[in-house]
Amino acid sequence: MYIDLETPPGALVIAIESVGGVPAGILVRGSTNLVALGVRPGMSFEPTPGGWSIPPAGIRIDVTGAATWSPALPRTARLVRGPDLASRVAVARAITSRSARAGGLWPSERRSSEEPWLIRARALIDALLDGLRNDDGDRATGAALGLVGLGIGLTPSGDDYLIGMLAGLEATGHPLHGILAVAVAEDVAARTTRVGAAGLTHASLGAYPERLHDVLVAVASEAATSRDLGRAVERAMEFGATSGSDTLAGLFAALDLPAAADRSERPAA
Amino acid sequence: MSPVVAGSIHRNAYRDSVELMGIAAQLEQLEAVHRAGLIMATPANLAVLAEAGLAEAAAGGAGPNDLVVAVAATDRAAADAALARATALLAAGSGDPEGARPTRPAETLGEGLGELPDANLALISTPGTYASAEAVRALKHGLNVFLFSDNVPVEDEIHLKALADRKGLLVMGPDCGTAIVDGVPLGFANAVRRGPIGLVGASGTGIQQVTSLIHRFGSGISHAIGTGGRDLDERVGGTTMLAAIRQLLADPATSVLVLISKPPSPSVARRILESVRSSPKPVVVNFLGGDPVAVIDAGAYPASTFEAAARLAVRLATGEASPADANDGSVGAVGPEMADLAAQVAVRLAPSQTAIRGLYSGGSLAGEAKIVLGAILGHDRHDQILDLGDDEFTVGRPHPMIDPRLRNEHIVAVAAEADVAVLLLDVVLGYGSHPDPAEALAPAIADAMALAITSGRNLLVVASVCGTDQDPQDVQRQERILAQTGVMLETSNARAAMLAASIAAAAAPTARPAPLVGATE
Repeated sequence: MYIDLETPPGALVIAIESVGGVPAGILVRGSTNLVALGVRPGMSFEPTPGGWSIPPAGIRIDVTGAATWSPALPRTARLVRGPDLASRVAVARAITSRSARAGGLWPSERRSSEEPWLIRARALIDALLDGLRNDDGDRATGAALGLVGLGIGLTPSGDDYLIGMLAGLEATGHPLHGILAVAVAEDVAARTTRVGAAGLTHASLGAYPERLHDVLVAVASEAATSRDLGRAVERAMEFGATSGSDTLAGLFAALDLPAAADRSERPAA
Repeated sequence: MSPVVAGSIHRNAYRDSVELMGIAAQLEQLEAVHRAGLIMATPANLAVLAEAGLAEAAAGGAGPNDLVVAVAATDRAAADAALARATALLAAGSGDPEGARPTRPAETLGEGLGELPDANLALISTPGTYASAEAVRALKHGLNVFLFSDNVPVEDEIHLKALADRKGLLVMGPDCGTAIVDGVPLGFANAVRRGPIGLVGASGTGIQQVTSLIHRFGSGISHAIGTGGRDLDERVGGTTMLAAIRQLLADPATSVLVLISKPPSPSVARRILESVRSSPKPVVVNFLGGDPVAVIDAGAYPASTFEAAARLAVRLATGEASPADANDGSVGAVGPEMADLAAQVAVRLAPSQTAIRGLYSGGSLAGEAKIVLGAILGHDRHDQILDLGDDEFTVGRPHPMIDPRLRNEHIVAVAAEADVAVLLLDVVLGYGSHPDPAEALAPAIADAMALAITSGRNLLVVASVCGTDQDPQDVQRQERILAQTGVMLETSNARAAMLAASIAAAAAPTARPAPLVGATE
C-alpha cells in the first residue's frame, strides 16, 4: 500500500515497511492495511508534536523513536563506467524486460505498442537521449518537459522514466544532470499528477526511493552476484503497476549513455 | 459517418496504469465502440487526446489529478453506455459499493454442505491462522480434509490428525499441494488415467512426477494421497501416511502402492515400513536419499528416484516384476548413450564453465536433483539448486508454477555467471499450473543463451517436463517449444539431473567421472 497525501512542495507518503524508504515517506511496520484503517489518497493531514495526524481518517502517527533514512544516493551507488558495468546493466535490463507488465514503457506483446501516448513518449525519449549524448541541453530539456505528465496511470510513465534518468545521470556524474533536474521540477504541479510531481520534485533535489538505490548499488558493485542484481531489480519492479519498470527504463538508459570522454572523442557531425 | 466522441471526468481518481488499460480494453470490446482510453488529464496527456481526435472528451476543465474516460463510438447511445460501463468498472475496482457484485458463493462450511449434502471432503485454503478451526469443523462434519493452507502450527497438525484418525478420516496437509482422489485432481495435479496404482506422498511435485510417469508408461492411478511435508516428521509420526496406507491396502481398485517422501525420521520410517511388512500388495518405497536396505528388509521395493518408482510400480502392476527386481538404490547411474551426449556437448563450454545451476519450481524435484548431482559429482562443488517455490522466494508473490516471472529473472541472471555450464530446469504441467509454461519460459531461456554468447560462452540448458498428454497444457507442445529454443530435454527430472551432471563431469576433468553401470532402468 502506498498512500500519497497532498502537501506542497511534495507529498507525505505513508507506506507499509516492505515498500522501502521513499522521499518524504513514513513506513509503517507490519502488514497494516492502511485502506482498512480509512486512509485514502488526497486526505489532508496536520503536523502534531509527535508526528502527524490524518483527521478525516481519525489517525495519529507517532514518529518519535522512528528510524531515519536518507533518500540521497549513497557513495556506493556512484558508478564507474566500463565493460563490467555495461555487462551488469545488460543483465539487469534483460531481467526487467522479461518481467515488465504491459501498460508502461517497456515493449509488450499487448496493445500498449499502439497507444498514441507511447508513440509520443518513444519519440521524446529518443530526443532526450540524443540531447544527452550530444551535450545539447536545450534538446534534452525540451524533450524531458514533454515527458512530464505523459502516460496513463497514477504516476505517468514519463515521470517515472525521468526519475530513473535523473538517478542514473547523478550516479554517473553526467554534465547535463543539473540543468535537467532544474527543468523538470519547474511548474511541475501544473504539468502532472500529485504523485508524479512529488516524485519529480524529490528527484530534482537528489532524493530517490530506496529501491532505486539498491539497483544502483547492485550494478555498481563488482562483488554483487547476479542473484543480488536480480533481487534488486525485482524489488524495484514491484513498485506500482508499471512505475518500477518505467523508472528502471530511465535509469538503464542513463547508464548506457557514453562517458564524457567518449563523447568528446566522437567526430564532429 | 464520423464517430461520436464522449467523455467523463472522475475527479481525484488514483488508479494504476494496468487497471486503466484493462478497463479500456473491456470498453473496446463493447459493440459500436471504436476507441476508448482512460488517462490522467495532465497537459501532456490532453495533447495526446487532442491528436487522437478525442479532445472533446476532456471538456469540462479536467486537471492533472483527474481521470478522463474518452470514448469514440458509432452513436451517442453507445458512447454513453460505454461511459456508464467505465464508471461501474472503476467503482468495482475501488471496492466502491456502487460496483457490480458477483453472485454470492457459499461462505461457510455449513452453507457448502447445504448445497452439497453428500460431500465427503473439504478443501481448505484459508490463511494458516484460521485453517485449523475450519479443519476441525470439517472433521466434525465427517469430512476428509485437503488442507492447502500453510503456516499451520505443528501442534495443530498433530491435534487434527489425531482427531481424523479417531474418526477414520484423512487430513491431507497442511501445506498439501497435490492429490488425486477417486480420479478428481486437487490442488496442483496432472491429468492421468485411472488405474491400479495408489500413491501416498509427502511431496507435491514428487506425486506429480510419479503419477505423470506412470501415465506415460501406460498404467494409471487409483488414488494419490498427499500427506503434507511434515507428516513424516517425528512429532507428527506419519499419521496420515499410515492411515492412507491402510485405506489403499483395503481399496479393491488399488493393486500396487507407492510411498514417496523426503527421508522420514528413523522411528517414523520404521513404523511406516512395519505397516507394509505383511502387505498382500507390492509396495514401492522412494524415500529420497533414504536407506534401501531397510526397505528391502520390510519386503518392499526401494526406488532411488521418482522415475525408478514409477517404472517399478508399472512393472509390478502388470506382473512383470518380482521381489528379485528390488532396486539397488544406485541413483545417478548414467548409461553410455547419455555419457556420449554429455561429452559431445561439453566441448562447447568455455574452460571457466563447470558449475550447474538448477532453477526449480518444484521443491521435491529440486531435492531429487541435488541427490542425483551429489551421487555423480560429489558434494565439494559450486553447483546450486534453488527451489524457487520455497517460502524464501514466494512471500507476497505467486508460486513459480503459476507465475514464471521470478524464475525468468533468475534464468536471465544466470547468463552473467561465468562459471555456469548447465542451467537445469523443471517444467511442471497440470491443473493449477501456468497455462503455457514453456511459451512463458522460452524467451528468457533464449535471452540467457544469447547473453552468454555475447560474453564468449555457451550456456547449456537441460530440462524435463512433468506432465501428460491429457494435461491442459499438452506435454508434446511444451516439449516442442523448449526443444525449438535449444533446450536439451530428458523424459524425467532424474534423467535431466543425470545429464546435467554428466556434462559438468565431462567439462571439469577434475570432477569425479560419471559412473558407467549400464542403463538406469
